[in-house]
Amino acid sequence: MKRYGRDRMSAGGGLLFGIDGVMTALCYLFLLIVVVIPVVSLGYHAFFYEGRFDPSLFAAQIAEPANRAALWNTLKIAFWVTLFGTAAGTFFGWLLGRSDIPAKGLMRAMFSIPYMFPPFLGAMAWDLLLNGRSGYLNKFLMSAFHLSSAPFNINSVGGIVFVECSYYFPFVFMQVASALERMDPTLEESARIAGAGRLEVFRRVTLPLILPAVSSGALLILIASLAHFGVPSILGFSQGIYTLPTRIYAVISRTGGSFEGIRSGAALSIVLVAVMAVAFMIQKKAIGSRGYDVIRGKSMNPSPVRLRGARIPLFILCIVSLVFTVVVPLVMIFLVSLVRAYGLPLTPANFTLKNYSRIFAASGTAESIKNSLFVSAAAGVLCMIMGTLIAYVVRRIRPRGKGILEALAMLPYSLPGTVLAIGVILAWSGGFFGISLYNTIWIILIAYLARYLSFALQSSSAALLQIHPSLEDAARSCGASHAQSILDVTLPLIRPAMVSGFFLIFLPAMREVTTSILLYGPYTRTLGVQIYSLRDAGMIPQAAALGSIAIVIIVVCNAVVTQITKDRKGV
Amino acid sequence: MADVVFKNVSFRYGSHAVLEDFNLEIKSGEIFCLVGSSGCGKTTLTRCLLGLNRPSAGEILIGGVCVFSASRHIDMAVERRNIGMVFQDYAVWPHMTVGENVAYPLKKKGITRRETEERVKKALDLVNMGAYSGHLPNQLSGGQQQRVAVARALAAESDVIVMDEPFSNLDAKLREQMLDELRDIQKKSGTTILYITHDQQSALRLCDRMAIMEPGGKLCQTGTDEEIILHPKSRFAFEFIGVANFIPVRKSPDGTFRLIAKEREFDWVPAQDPSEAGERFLVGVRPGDIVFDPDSPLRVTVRRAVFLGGEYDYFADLGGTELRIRQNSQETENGVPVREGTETGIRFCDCRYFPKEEGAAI
Amino acid sequence: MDQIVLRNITKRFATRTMGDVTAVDHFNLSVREGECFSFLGPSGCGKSTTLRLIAGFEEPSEGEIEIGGRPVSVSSQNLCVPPEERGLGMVFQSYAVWPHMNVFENVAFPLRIQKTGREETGRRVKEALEHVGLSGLESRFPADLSGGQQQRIALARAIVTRPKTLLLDEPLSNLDPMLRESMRFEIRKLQKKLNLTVIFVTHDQAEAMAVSDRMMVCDMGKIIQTGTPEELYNRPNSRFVYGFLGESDFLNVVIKDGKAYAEGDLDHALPIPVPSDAKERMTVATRPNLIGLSGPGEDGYPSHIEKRIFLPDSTEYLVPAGGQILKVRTPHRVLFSEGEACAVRFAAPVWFPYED
Repeated sequence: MKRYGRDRMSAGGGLLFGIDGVMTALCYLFLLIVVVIPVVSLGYHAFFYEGRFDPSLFAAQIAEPANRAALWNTLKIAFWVTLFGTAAGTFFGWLLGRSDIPAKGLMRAMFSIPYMFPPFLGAMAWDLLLNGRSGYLNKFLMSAFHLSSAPFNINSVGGIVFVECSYYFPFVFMQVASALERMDPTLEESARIAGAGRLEVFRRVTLPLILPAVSSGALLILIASLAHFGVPSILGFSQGIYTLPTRIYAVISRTGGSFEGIRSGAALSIVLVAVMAVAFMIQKKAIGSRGYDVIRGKSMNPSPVRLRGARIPLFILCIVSLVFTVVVPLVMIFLVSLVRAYGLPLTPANFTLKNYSRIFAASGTAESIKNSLFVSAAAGVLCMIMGTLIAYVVRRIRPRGKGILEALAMLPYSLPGTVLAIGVILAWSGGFFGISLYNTIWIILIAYLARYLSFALQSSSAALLQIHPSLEDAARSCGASHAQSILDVTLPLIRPAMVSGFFLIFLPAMREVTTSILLYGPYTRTLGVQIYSLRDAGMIPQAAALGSIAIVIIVVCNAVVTQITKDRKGV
Repeated sequence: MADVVFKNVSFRYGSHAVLEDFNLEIKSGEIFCLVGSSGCGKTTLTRCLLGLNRPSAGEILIGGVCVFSASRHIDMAVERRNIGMVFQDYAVWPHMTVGENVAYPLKKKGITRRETEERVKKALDLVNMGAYSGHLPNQLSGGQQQRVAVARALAAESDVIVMDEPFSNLDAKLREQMLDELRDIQKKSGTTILYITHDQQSALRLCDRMAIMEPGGKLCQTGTDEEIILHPKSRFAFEFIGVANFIPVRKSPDGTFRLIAKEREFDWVPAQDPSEAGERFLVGVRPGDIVFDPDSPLRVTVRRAVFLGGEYDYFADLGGTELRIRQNSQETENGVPVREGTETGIRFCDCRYFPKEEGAAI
Repeated sequence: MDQIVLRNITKRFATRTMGDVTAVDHFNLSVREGECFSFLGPSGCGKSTTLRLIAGFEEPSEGEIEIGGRPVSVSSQNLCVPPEERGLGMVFQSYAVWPHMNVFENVAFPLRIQKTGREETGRRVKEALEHVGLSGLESRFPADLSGGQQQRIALARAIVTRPKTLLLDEPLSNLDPMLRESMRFEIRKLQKKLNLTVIFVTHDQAEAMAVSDRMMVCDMGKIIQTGTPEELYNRPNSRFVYGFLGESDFLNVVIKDGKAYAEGDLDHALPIPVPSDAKERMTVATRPNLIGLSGPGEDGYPSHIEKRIFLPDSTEYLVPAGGQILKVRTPHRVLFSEGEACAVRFAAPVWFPYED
């Protein structure tokens, strides 16, 4: 085996504080600002008051019945979302990965749409359709079947579970589909030769083999649902249904953002983090240490499972699912954005484009788009640069403590956005050296940087792993210095990964609500916050109009990124 | 063109000594092959030469210039050592065309554009890749990519080119062809080449001189291919080069020799004079140097006969010791091999003598 | 008795770029009970497709297949028995041992499907593991085992139901050379001990010759020749078979007055008997180890050593003959140096029509 070890440190040629040292120091500084100080502040303020250890606040928060109800709701919702989302994801993943269902390529693309569609817009759409009092669909069903009360009520725990499921099942779907694709088909063929029929092969061989993929997707759903803010806040507030993240928001906004409120939020955050930690531990236990290596053997196309008679019904089921998760909310948002006043029937007679002009007249809309574009782009660029730098330091320079560096960069990934936001507020509202960024766009940027850094790190890390160190060594043996070899060889090679890493951050940041809603100030509303407040103020058609604009921006950006990744050369 | 000298070089990886007091001289303008099994320290050695690893002791000189000296605190930067390198995984930059790849080292040396163009063309022609200058590496096969890597190393006109298992990712036929080509190219360019491999066959095909490296970073024999093949210095060298049988021998007081197989002894008349080998020694014989002779007192039972096309491969039992024997199919009796289960005699027509290691299992 | 019979088996695949491709073109073949039969050929020759047709993973476009006298694929009747009902054992190149089951569970799987009793299962698994030399590893997982051991699990799993026929698809290609050689022998031993009918697919001619009783060489979807290894090696029906079965020297010759001359040298006749029906231009094939070298004064075609390469167990010489170069292999004890004159003799030359 070749050893590319720490000895590479010396490759700089004896410089005591060469380029390697500068890069490493820069990484630590960055992580200190966006991760370490906020997290430490959060922990400190939850348990310490005026410099003394004081657990009374924490105890009081736990004792509060409303908070316990929120905790219970959070667990309940997360459990059902994980269960149904995983089942649906596995089923569709198998259907598209292994069966002979028609139009696979198109359907795969469609199934990944919920991934980029903002869930809180979906929740808004379903609220418009199935609101217990005024939902369009409910009203239609009541008049059609002469019902005395609404048949569905989306403003319930069940409704929240339904909407979250429809946005989170792709986590499992994508993992399962790609695991099935990478799986060596001879593993299944040898079971057939051993005498097992198709069903038996699926039960005894295929299913156990994709179990790791299923469970890691399930964990993603679980932590996403535990930390989720948008859907429960839109569907639950009116009925007094709170989850931990929405409860934290409610506690803080009720006190008007006072320090006491934020401290209570911090204490609740600790509870939320503890729940997440337990979820991680359970998953670790469940999977155990055994990871399977289902390598691909010969490039023999596995013969797809013939669905025969079930082919068309299952195809229709897929289409219906797609319609419900993608088409219905989309169309609904768009139609409502055209209606003159909320509540009027959705007929062309009631349609107008005035909502679009009106939202720009409303205070802060144009500003919010500008803010979101700026802060998302800035977060994208900075995360991409720092993520690549950290990846390079961790993978190539390998200084002492590289494990700490990587862990710090990945830590925010497992912290709910709400929790991060509180940490950032506590850290950068005058807590450190009197630096106060409160009510400025910069505090939002810091939160975004912390939230999305791990995305960039993962995408650059994966790209670096593909680039053998010998490519850089070859440049050095050609007479290039270390810095030159990075510039001439490594950087151009990971550029495509950096670009797609940028969009991986830019797109979700454009529709972000969870952290922004706690951090925005009078002049620093973001797009998500603006839609949210418009809706909160009862200006529902305008909120839908701005939502439609957001969707257009996201779709255009997504098309651009697909084009870019398609064109990448070499690598 | 330059010679390379390693003087008492040591390298440790943690507490594990990979190289200890390593000495080697590579002459200017020769192809020198370093052969060893994986983990013997040969890759570490090249990385020390390149400057990617820093030895804990010793000196390295290239063309008389000291590039590393632990005692004098010299450690020349990688890019200033003027060494060309060809890697096992080609390390051709995928984002540059073939021409740009080969031109890169010249650009770094500040060569004028016109001269660069000329030298790139010359180097690419030399490796038969002249027509591919505008191609991207991913449009080329593995063999072609490795040719580009060789051209890149040649174009730089480095003092030394180090090649670390450059052809081991290629299939056997292509590898053989590339080795022959490389030899021709080197004879034209005159560059000193240090070629690292685990494959003795490639080394024999390519080298002017070669060295066999034992696990633990010691050289067990250095010499021309002829010396290594015809005069192996140790049992390790003999066994490393190819399949070999070893049988202990004892000299009787009356001057005759006895072969000591596991379960019985045989009177044996050596084909070559073993008088310098001492009282007790090992006889080493290659499968192809054993012939069947029904009248010989060395009795064997054939356990297995495998048809390999041009040859038969036999596993035979000589008094409890298993011997490998190869027989050219033309030397069989009317094309009929010795059948499995047959009892017959054998002779050694060419063998070597090695000192018997005490207590070593045979 | 014939265990496996292929009649007029043809398999066409529809491809996007090249239209219909015939991967297997009218194969007629019978494999006898208890023999080891190899399918040998370069990649894409149709050998693996044929095996998958026999296993039942593919349906033939034409023709029929019988296993043990029972028709399993008959294209005219639209009959295709699924793989699990053909009663075969099979080993794949990628081992295909299930990583989520331990050794015992892997090997016991076919018995569990057959609902064999627990005691019987335990006994048969033990026996199968003994056959492949893996006793004592029952509770280990495949990830903890070497490639060679994994392949043995696959082999044990394939024989545990005592099938009459074993299909092996490049079973040794992923193993290192030393292990490959010993596994060949073990497979052969097992085959004889259990009296299995084995079909062995490989692209490695040495492997095919070492394991087979009979073999078939195919190329581009067609069977070129079938026979014992010795028959194919010594009496090839085509230049392709000659070239594929071992290293070869092809020498283009001109026939004049009943003597053969290397192209480019009409002064010295080659010491090769010329067949009576030889055309004016022919290609004569021989192999590096069938060419003998001796001192310049002796009988033979006069030439010299152009290049000498030492190999581990022989010396390779490049020797010019007219405008062409012969590759010659001799034991180390026959030693010439570069530039030295020599005489060349040929053993067992084979004649083929002239090909440029």
